[in-house]
Amino acid sequence: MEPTRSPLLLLLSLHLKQLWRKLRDANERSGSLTWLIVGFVATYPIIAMWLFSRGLRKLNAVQGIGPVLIEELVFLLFAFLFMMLLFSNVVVGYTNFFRNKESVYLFTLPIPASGIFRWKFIESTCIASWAFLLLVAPLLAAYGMQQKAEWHFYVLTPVLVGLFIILPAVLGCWTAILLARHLDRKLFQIGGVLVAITIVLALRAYLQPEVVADESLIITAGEERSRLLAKTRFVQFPFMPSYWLSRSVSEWKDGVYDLSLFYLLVLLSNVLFFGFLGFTRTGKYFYSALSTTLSRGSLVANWAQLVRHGGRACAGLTLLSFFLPYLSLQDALNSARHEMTRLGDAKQNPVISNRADWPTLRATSPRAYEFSSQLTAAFDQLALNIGPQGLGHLGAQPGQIKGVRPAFTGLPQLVDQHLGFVDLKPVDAEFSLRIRDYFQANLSGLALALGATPITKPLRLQPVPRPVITAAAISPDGQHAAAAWPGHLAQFQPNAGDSLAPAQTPFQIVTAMQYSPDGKTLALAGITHEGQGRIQFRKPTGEIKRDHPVPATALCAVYSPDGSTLAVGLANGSTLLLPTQGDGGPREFQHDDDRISALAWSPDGNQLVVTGLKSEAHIIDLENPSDPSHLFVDADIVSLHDGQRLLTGQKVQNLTTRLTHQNEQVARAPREKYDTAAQTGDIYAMATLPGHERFAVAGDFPGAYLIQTDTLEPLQQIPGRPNDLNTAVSLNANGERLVLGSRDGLVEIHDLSGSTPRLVRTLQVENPPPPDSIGPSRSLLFLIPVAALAALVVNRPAVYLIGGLMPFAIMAWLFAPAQSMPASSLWGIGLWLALLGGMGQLASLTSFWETSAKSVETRKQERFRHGPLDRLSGWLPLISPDTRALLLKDIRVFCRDTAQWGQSLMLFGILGLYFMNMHYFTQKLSNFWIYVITYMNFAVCALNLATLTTRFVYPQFSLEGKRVWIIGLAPMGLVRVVLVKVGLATAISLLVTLPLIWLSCHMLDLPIRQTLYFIFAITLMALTLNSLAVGMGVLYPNLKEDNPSKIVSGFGGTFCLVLSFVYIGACIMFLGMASPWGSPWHLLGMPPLEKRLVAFGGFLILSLSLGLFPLLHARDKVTKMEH
Amino acid sequence: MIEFRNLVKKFGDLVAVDHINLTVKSGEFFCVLGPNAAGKTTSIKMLTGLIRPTEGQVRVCGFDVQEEPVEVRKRLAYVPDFPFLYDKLTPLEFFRFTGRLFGMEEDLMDNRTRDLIPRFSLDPYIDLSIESLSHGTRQRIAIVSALMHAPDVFVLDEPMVGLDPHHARVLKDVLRERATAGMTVFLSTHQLSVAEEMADRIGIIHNGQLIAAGTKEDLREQAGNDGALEDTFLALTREDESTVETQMRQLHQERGPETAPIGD
Repeated sequence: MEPTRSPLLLLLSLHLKQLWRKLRDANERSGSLTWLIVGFVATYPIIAMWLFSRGLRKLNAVQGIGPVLIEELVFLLFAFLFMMLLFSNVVVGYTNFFRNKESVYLFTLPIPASGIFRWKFIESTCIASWAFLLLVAPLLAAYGMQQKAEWHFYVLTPVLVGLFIILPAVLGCWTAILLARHLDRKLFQIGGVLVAITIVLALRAYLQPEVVADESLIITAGEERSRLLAKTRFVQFPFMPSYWLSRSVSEWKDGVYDLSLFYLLVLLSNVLFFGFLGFTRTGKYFYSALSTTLSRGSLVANWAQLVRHGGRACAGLTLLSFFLPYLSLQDALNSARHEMTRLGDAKQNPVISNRADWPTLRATSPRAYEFSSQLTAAFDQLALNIGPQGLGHLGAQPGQIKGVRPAFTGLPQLVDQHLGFVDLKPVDAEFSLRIRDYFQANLSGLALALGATPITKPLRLQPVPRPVITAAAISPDGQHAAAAWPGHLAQFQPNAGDSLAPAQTPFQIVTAMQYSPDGKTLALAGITHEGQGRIQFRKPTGEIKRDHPVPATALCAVYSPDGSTLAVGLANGSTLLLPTQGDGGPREFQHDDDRISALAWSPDGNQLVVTGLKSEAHIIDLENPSDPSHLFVDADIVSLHDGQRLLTGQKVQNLTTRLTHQNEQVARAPREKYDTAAQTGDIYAMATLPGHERFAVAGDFPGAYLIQTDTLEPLQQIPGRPNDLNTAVSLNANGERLVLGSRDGLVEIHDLSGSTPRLVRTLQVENPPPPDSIGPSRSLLFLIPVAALAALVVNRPAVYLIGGLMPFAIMAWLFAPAQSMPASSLWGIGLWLALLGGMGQLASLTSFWETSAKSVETRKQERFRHGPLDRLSGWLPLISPDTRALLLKDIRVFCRDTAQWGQSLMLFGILGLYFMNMHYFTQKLSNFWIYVITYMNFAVCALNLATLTTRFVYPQFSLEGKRVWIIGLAPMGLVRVVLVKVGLATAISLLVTLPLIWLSCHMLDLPIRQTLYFIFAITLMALTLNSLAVGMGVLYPNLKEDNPSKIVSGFGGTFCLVLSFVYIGACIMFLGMASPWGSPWHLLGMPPLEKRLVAFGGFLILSLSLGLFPLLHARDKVTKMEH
Repeated sequence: MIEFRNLVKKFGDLVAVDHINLTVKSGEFFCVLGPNAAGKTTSIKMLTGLIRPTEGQVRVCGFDVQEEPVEVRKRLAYVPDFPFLYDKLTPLEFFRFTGRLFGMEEDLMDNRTRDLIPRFSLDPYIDLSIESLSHGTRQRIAIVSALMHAPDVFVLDEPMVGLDPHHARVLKDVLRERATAGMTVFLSTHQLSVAEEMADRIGIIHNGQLIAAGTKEDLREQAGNDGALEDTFLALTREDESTVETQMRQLHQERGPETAPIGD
C-alpha cells in the first residue's frame, strides 16, 4: 500500500492512536474511574439539557419580557463563549506551541513550518474548545426545544458552532505567537497582572448593578429589562463573530432562513478568510516565535535592542495615525454605537412613542428622536400591513412571532421613506415592546442584507435641515399669527410681510399656543431649555406680558370662552386654571392620569373636559369641581365640548361624537370621505371655532380637513405636500383663515372663505446648518505621514524632531477654538496616536530610551545581591535555614509558573469582584436571605479554596518527582519537607481567602464577632484542606509526571477533590448550626446551647481528623520511602 | 556539506556564538568539544534550523537552513541529548511514522529497520510502549529512527549519554560505517575519548568562539602540547577561564565586596 504522504494526516492518525491508547491504559489502570467518566459523558448532556430546558421555561414565563430575555441571553451566551474560547485558545495555544517538546521535534523533520503550525493549531483548537462545545451543545438543544424549532435547526447549529470556534482559535493562536515572540516570562507576568487588574477595575466601574425592586419588574418590565441588560449591549456589536452566530441561530429558529443564511455566510466568509490566513501565512511567524523562545529571550526583553527600533516604531505609529481615519473606523464605530444603542436603555437615547414628547426629544436628542419616529413609523406601517388584530394576537402568543418576521424584510427602506408621526396605540402594548426589540435587532442585519446600508456606509441618520413646527396660532381677527419650533417663535402678519423673523424663546418646545378671544394676548405653553414647564403671555407684537412657571411640562393650553382663564394640561396628570387678569392664583385639579393630553371648554365656560393617556375623559363642573364625572372613551381624545357632546377620536377617519351624560355615540365620521392615502390618519393638531360648529384637524394624512361638528362630514380638504405632514393648525374666529405648520418647517396660510381653500402665503423655516467638524484642516494632515515616512526611511534623530513636532503643531492648530472639533470624533484617536508617536520620537531624540536602557543594564549588574524575597525570608523568626531555603524554592517555583497563579488569580479575582458588588443587591434583603448569602459566600470561598488545594497543592509532592533525591537526601528529611509544604500552602491560601472572607462579611455589614467566627472557621478549613491535599499527594504520588494537571487527574486527585467538597458541605452545616448569630439552619428557631456546642465540636473534630489522618499516613509513607 | 558562515547568535547581551566559520566536508566525522555553555548546542540548534542566527548563515548540502529548511531537513537527521518520542507508540510504529514523514516506501522502511533494530538490540522492545522503556533504550530508538532515511548529514548532541558501553560501541561503528559511505557526522560531546577515537576533525568552541579546529595533531600543535586530547583541550580552554576570572576580579573591585570573585 502506498504510504500516506501528508504530514498532517500522519500526525492526526498518530495522535488519534495515542489518544485511544491513553484511554485504554486509563481503563486498565482504573476501570471504575473510566466508567465514572463514561457515565458522566453519557448523562451530562441529558441532565444539562433538562436543566437548561427548565431554566428557559421559567425565563419564558416572566411576564412581558421572557422571550426577549431568552433572545438576549443567546447573544450573551455566545459573546461570552467567544471570549472564553479566545482566552482558552491563547493559553492552550501558547502551551502547545512553545512548551510542548513535540514542536521542537517536528521542526527537525522535513515538514514545512506552516505544516507544523497547521497540526499544532488543530490540536490546540480541539483541546481549547471541546469543553465549551460540551457546555453549549445541551443548551442549544434546550433552546431549540423551548422555541419549538424545526428539525433542521439541530442540523444547522452544529455547523454554525463548528465554524464559530475557528475564529477565536485563529485569534488565540496569533495572540499566543505574538506573546511568545515579543514578551519574555517576566514581562508576560507583569503584563498579565496589569491587564487583569485593569480588567477587574474596568468591570468594577462598568458593572454597577441595577437595584431592582420586585414590583418594578412586574409593572415596568420592559424598562427594567432594558436597564438590567444595558451593560450587556456590547453583545449586539455587529462585528463580533458571536453576533453572527447568535443572529443566524435566532433567525433560523424563527424561520427567517434567508437572513439566517446571510449571517451564516458572513461567519463562513470570515472563517475562510482568517482560517486561510492562519493556515497559510502563520507558519513562519510560528517558527520565528519558537526560535525566540528557544533562544531564551525576546525582542522586548532585550531592552537595548528594542531601543534601536524605538524611533522606527514611533514613526510607524505616526504614519498609522494618519491612515486610521481613512479606514472609516469612525463610520464603523458610529455604526456600532448606533447598533448597540438599544431602545430605552439610556437616558440620552430614550425611545418615546408618544408623539407629544417628540418635539422635546428632537431638541434634546435628535438621534433618539429619529429612532423614535422611525421605529414608530415602521411599527405603524407594520400594523397597517398585518392589521392590529394580527399584532394583538401575536402579542398574546409569542411563539407565533415568527409568522411576522418576514414582514420585517422591508423595514429599512420603510424607515428611510416613512418618517411619520404615528402612534402605537393600535399595537398591543406588550407586543410593541417585543417588536421593538426584534426590530432593532433586525435593523442592522437587514440593512446589510439588503445592501441599503453597506458596512462602509452604515446606517447614518441625515441631519434634518428643517425644524418641526410644533405649534401655530392665528388671532380671532386674522390679523396676527404665530408659529413655534424648537427654541424659536415667529409672530407675523399673516397677510403681509416677506419672511418670518424668528425670536429666540425660553421654550425649548412650545407644545400649545393660542390667541385670547380678544386677540390681544398670545399664550404659549411648553417646556423650557432647563426642562421646566412654563406658560408665557405675549402681546401680538411680540412683547412679553407675563411668564408663569408651572410644575410640569405644559402639554396643552386652551383659553376659556370669555378669555378670563387659561386651562393648562400638565405632564404630571394635573390641570391648572390660570386667571389671565389680576393677581389670583391658579386652581389645580389632579386627575388619576399620567399626563393630560387634551382640554376643552364648554361654550358657557362652566365645564371643562380633560383627557389624558388613560383614555378617560374627566368632565369637571367648575361650580362643583370636587365631583367630576368620568367617561371612558376607547381612543385618544381630540376633544370638543359643547355642553352635551364630546368629540373623540384618534384618527381622522374614526372621529365620533357622543353624549357626555350617556356615553352614547351620536355621530360617526364617514370613513370613506377621508382620504388618508397610505398614512395612518392620526390627528396631531386640532383647532376649533369659538362656537364649535366647525373644527380643523391636521396629522398623519395629506393636508388638513375642515370638518362640520354635527355631522363629522369634511367641509373642505386643504391639500398637502408630498412627504410632509402637518403638525400644527389654527383657525381664526370666523373660520376664514387657517394656519398650518408642518413637520418640514413649512407654515401655510389658507383662505377658507371660498368653496375651496386657497393658499395665501407660504413661509419656510430652516434649521441652521450643522457645524463642519474638521473643515479644511484635513489637507494639512498630509504633512504628518510625510514627516513620519521621512523618519521611517531616514531613521535619524533630526528627522524625528520634525516628525515629533509635526503632530503637536497640527493638533494645536486643530484644537483651536474656531475649529471646535468634537471630542468624541475618532479623528481624535488618530491624533492621539500621532501625539504618542511624536512623543516617542522626541524621546528617542533626547536619548531618553538609551538612558533607560543603561539603567536596566545597571540593575542587571546587581543581580548578585540578595533579592527582596531573600531579605524578607531572613526576617521570619523561628525558621531554620533549610526550611527557609525550601520555602523560598517553593515560592519561587510557584511565582515563576504563570499557569499556576494565573488561574488562581482569575478565580479569586472574579470572586472578589462579586463580593465588591454584593451590597448592591443585598440592601433590601431580609435577615434570612442575608444569612443564606453569608453562608453561600463562605461556601463558595471554601470550594474555591478546595479547587486550588487540589489543583496546585495536591501535585506539589509529585512534582518533586525526579528532584526528590535533592530534598530527600538533605538532612531535613522528607517529613519536614511535607510539613513545610503544608505550612506554606496554608499561609498562601490564607493570604487570599482571609481578605475575601473579610470583604464578604464587610459588604454584608456583619458584626465583628461574626466576622471573626468566619475567619476562624476558614483558617481551620484552609489548614485542613491543605493538609488533606498534601497528605493525599504523598499517598498517591505520580513521580514520573511533570504536568500538574495530569497528576491531579489521577485517582488520588479526584478522591482528594471529592473529600474536600464533602468536608466543606459538612463544615457549612456544622458552622451554621453552631452559629450564635443566626443562620439558614435556624429557620425554626435558635437551637439550645448544647446542640450548638455539639455542632461546633463536630466541626473541630472533623477538621482536625481530616487534616491529620492523611498527613500522618503521609508521614509514615515518606519515612519508608525509597528514592 | 556543512558550512557555518560568520555565524553569530546573541541572547540579549550574551553572545552565545561569536562569528563561527567552519566547513565540514561530505563523509567527514566532525566532533565539537567545549566546556559547558560554550555554545555547542546553540550552534547545533542553528545547524538544524531550530533557532535563527543573529547574523551569518548555515548551509547544509548547499541549502541555506533558513531559506530552504525543508530541503535541509530532508537530508539531515538530528538526535538531541534527550530526544522526544511519542510515549504511547511502540518503537516500530514510531519508525514507520518517521519513515513516512521522510517519504519512504514501506519496503524500504522494512529493510532499513530490519537492519538497524538488531544492531541496536531493540528486538525485545519493538512492540512495547515507548513510555515503559529506559532512557538508553529510548536513545537507541531515536538513533535508529534518525538513521532510517539514510541522511546525508547526521547531527548528534551528546549521544552517548545513557548508552551502555556495548551500544555506545555499536553507535560508533555505525557512525563510522556511514561516514565511510559518505554521511557527514557532526557530533557534540564532552567525552574526549569519543572524539579522539572517532573524529576526522575536532572543533573546540569556547565562549561562543571556535577557538580551534583540525585533526588531533593540528590541535596539539596549536596548544603546544603533545599529550592526550584532554591535555590539549584543557590547554586551549584554560587561557580563557583565567580571562574570565580576571574580569570578575575587576568587577569586584569596581562594585565592592558584595560581588564575590570566582575562587573566593
